[in-house]
Amino acid sequence: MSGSRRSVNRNTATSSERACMLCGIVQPLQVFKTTSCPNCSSIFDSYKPNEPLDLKIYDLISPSFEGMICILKPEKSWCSKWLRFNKYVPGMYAVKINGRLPEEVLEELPHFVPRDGSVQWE
Amino acid sequence: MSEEEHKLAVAPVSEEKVQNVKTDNEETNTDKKEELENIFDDDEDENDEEEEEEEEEQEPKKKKQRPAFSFVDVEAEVSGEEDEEDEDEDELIKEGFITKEGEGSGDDEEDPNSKRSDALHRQLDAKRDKMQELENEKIAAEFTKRHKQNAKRAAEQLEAYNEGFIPQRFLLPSVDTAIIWGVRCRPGQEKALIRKLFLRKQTLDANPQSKSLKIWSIFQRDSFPGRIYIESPKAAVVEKFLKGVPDIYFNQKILVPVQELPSLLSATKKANEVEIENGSYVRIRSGIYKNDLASVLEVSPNKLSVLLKIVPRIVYEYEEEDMGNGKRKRKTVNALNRPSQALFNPTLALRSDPNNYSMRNDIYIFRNEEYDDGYLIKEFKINRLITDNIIPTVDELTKLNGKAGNDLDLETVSMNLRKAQQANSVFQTGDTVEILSGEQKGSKAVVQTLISASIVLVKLFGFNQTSEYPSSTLRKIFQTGDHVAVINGDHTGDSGLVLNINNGQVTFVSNQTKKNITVTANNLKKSIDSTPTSNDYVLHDIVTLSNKVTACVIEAGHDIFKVKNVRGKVSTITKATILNKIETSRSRNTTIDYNGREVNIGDSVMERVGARREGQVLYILQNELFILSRKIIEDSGIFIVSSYSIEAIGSKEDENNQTLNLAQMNPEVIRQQQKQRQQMEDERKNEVRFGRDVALGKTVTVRSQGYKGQLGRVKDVTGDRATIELYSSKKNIVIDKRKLNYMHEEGGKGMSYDELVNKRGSINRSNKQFINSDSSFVSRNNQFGNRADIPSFENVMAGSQTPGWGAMSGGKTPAVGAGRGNATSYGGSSIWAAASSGNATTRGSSSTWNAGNASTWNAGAASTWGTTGGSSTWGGNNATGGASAWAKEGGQTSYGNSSSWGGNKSAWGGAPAQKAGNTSTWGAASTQQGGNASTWGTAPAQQGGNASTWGAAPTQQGGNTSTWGSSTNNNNNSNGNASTWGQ
Repeated sequence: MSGSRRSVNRNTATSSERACMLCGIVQPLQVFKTTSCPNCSSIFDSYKPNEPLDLKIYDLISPSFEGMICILKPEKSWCSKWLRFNKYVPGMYAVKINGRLPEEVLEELPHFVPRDGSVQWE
Repeated sequence: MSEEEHKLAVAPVSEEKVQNVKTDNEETNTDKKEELENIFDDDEDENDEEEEEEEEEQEPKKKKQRPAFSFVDVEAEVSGEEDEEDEDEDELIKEGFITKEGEGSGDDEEDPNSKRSDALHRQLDAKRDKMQELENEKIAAEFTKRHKQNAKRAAEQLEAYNEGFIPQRFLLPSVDTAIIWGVRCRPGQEKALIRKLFLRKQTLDANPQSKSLKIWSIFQRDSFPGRIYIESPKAAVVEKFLKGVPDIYFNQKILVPVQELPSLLSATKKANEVEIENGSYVRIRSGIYKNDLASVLEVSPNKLSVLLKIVPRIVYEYEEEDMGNGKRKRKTVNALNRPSQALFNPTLALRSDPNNYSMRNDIYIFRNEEYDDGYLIKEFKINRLITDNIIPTVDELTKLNGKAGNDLDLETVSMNLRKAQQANSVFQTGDTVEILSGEQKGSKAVVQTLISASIVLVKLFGFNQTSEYPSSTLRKIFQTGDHVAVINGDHTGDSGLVLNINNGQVTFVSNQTKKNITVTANNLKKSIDSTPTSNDYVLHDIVTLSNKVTACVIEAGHDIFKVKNVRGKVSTITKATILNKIETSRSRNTTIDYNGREVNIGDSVMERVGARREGQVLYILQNELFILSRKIIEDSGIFIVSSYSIEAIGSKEDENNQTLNLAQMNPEVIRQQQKQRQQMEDERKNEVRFGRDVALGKTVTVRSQGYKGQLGRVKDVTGDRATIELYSSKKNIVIDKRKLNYMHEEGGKGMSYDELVNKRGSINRSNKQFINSDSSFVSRNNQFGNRADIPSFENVMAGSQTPGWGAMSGGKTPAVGAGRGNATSYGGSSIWAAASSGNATTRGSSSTWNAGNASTWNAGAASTWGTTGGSSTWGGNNATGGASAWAKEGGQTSYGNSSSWGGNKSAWGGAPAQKAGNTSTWGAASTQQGGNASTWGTAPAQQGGNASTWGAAPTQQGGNTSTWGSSTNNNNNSNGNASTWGQ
């Protein structure tokens, strides 16, 4: 029983989950479509302001990510500090997110370090 | 209620309607209040939703039912109703006014009532307006609040991205700040477990009774399968938290060292990860193009989707299947029943489905797919592709790059191949490489990282800075003696030691085939593991192939195996061809060899004819045996023979057979044979005799584990290690000679090696006597010749006497004692028994005799003594030591041999002295003999005379004298002769 349930869980969870390329939070695509990202809503709002949320989010989220980390206490956890999750809400995050943000978003955030492993944090 | 009654009285016409209005109004008001409260209780988000919903109402097609926000829907519906009701109400009121006015004009009495109702209505309206205002205010307040919050949050968020970033080095973990536990879990379940644990933590925290567990974070990395990590200051907390969670083995938890944490949580690329770029190759993960090779035409800016060029698999004419009820359904196409790869055919497409066919700028669009130059051009999401470790085959590349029918462009293919090889990241961090072209040609460098599939960052020797090189200009450097493994090509999986490097061609000797293999340097990697082979099957495994043929693995690679089947045919097969492995240790298969003896797996056998190859039985399949010989190199020492053409190598069986062999029971024959054997053995043993170990040839039982209690014979001794030929199984085992129990006779008590050695010492001393006894022996022989006792004698001889002599010399103390006793005993046939320590059972000891030189005695002694006299007798001694010398040159020279007697030397030293005197002594002996012969045979009186002689001998011996005394005594008892001796 556990086997079949587990596999169903895993499949549904991973196939519909997306990671925010800005903060790295992992949540189902449907949640991104309806409520955007809990940490980066301002950027989600300011990016392509005239486009509906459920279309523009595809530029900001990624289906390809690795290293699931569940942050329970962002202020206390060393992991969250190290990975810069410390100002975000508790939840599931990804350590490495493949994909590149649109240039206009990056221009707004000159100090943003992408989470795709292309640049090492200093 | 009273009001309504009034109304009823005042306006009987509209009473029902008015009542309805009133009640409705009240209801809606209360409803509204409730709704307002609800709204304000709820989150701000839902206000948004409300607005959205209202908007959506205007566009009905957009309206969606969202169960998550069911409340909003309800509210919207109610408000809709309300509007309608308002309208109705207005209408009604209007009607009412009209009627009222009409009525009022007719009837003044009812004026105050109507005025009152009017006031009531106004009041109601005012109340409603006020409510509305309040509502709006509240909504507005919420909006401003939310806006402020948003602005604040946005500012915070921006700050988080842009400012206040502490440099990473200040965040380096310390033992106080970062305590992270690694816990083993079921591999493949890591992500599911993280989710599960997240939920678990939330559920636990939701319970107000229980204290919140101090767990800060939980994570997993794909590069560390079977592990999840938990950040928590206390181990006990982790244990408590994980207890009862399936698939987690929290007993195996470790505290992750602080130094390893940064790398554990780094987002950097894996060493073998190659970024997709234009022109690289990928495979499609699923769908009808599953596992098809595709080349990348374009990568999207966000790197999440790529435009691919694929050899299409188009179904022009859909097959239809009957659904049974007259309807026909298109057969679905999937990876299993997909059509074969073929370039796009416009004619076929136009004919089959003209409605979905169009062409523009040489690009065909067919069923919404784009085809350019016959290839499908399609965008794929990156997670639908396999990107790492792509090794395209030539066939695939040809299809993808050369148009069918056209000549194959070899240059492009080779280029693509090279590219593909590069994609298969040949270089690894830490490899030493040589630069092949450019300014730095010939210089050496160390690979730092792989920047992409074709560019490698290297650090030149002698320079500090790093530089980038295309991987095609680099060549790996190996050194003679490196252990390498082949990573590409036909020899993939093979490994060995580098013998020679010549211009980029590395020659190594294969671990498996022991042959020299030459491979290009870039196809090799350094390997520490000496066996990069399959885990499932190893060398010399017996396997069943898919065609039910049994075979033995003679070369094990990673996926390719060389096997020799039961017919002796060698073939190279893939792993998939192997059905299963046969556990030979569990096999009870046996067969019989040429001699009809049982042969088991593990026995040593030898070919009867031909090359007489020798080896160990690996497996028995009916009458065919897989035999492993360490002396044969070809086919890894495996050869297959029929059981009829081999014979088991075993000792015990041999002996048994011999004893049972009637032909050999003839004493004459035995004597002949033994003579020959002796000569052979003498020749052989003379070389090693000098250092001969006492243990050699002894019957022993094993005292150490493994073979404990098993009976065997010492075949060879090298240092402390004795080779034992076991009687029970035809095996030779090597064991410490001190861990053996030496049996001097069957059934008797054993002794340790040290005891054996000590005993031997005493033997040596007795040797002198022995000689004396020899003489007596000789005489005895004569006697025997004359006597009717012969048969018994013969028996003795045949059984073992001869060897016994060897034993004497070798160190058989008992035997010696026996010998002396024998001397006496010779008088009587029973003597022998006496010899063996006086036991009647001495016969056993006689076997002991066999073991040694005894044979010599037979050959030499029996006859020699009988005939030539003492000197010849000594020839018999050859067997025992310097014996040869003795044999050849007679007594005197033999004295030189006396030295060879070993420990006895001193005694002998005495002996030579004797010799001089010996001559006398011996002479005495001989004289004795002479006299003895007659004497012994005949008269005790002589014995008396002899006795004195003998007596002399004992005196010489010293200690032996006593022995003599005893032995004689014993003998007396035992033999008729004994009596003689007694005298």
